[in-house]
Amino acid sequence: MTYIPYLSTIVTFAFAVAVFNRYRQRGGVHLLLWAIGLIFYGLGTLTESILSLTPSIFLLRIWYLTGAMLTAAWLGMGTVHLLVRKGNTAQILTWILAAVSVLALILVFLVPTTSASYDITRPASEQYREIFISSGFLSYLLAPTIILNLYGTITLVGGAIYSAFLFWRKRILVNRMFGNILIAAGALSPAMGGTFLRAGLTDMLYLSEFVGAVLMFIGFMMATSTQSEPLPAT
Amino acid sequence: MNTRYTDSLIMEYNMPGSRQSKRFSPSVLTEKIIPVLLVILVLTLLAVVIILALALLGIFPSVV
Repeated sequence: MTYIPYLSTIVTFAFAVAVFNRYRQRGGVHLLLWAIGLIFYGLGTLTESILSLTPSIFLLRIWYLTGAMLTAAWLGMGTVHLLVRKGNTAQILTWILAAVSVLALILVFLVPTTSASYDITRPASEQYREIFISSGFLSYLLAPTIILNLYGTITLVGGAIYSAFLFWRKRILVNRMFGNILIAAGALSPAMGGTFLRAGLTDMLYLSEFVGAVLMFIGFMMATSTQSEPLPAT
Repeated sequence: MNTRYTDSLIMEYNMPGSRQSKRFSPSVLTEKIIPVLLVILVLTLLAVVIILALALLGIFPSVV
């Protein structure tokens, strides 16, 4: 089932283009940040795809930086811009995230590697610990990785759930309510991928990334569609 | 607070018409399913956050 990362890459880049086009038409920093997050998502699945064909430490570093570290945080940052309108909190957080991202880039490319060779039959997330030297730099890398994922998951998923709840409670904009539910479910899907991997379900990891991208794309399209007719009561 | 927030979301998407015109009446099935879905999502989010927090503290093996 190694073709799944290819599908994920196609879906994610198509999603990024859709979000960026909307940004060009309507503006909104949140859309630009979501597009950046989706490009990171796509780069993560793209490098994952290439790494299943040819071993490359450089691509492994790119995969770790984009797929494991930055995707969730930048997507979540977009949601923060959408929800936090008062003051310049969102702008300050964006600058902090940009600085942390640059630091992450430096750290990822400074991590020394072992002599272990990359096995193209196994997923990157299963073997990067064997290739990056586990003491020293990697220990500095793990904490920011987890913090970035915590921040991204809470803001992206929490923001979508909160939005869906508000639309539900006020009984308005049903398309936006369902769209946010799908976005929340889609964002949680890859977050649970690591658990599948630890259970030895490698295919499920790939599938969770694909399902996540598809659900979020559908959710976004639903949420941004213009609903002309209210849902009939039954 | 919530009303202002919802209004800003509506404006964000440049929706024509007022909030009132976009109201919907949920079906019996939707009335029951949506709260359950939201609770499941919140619980899943909590589980992911707890696992990540434990991984940060070194109690749980890293998942990222």
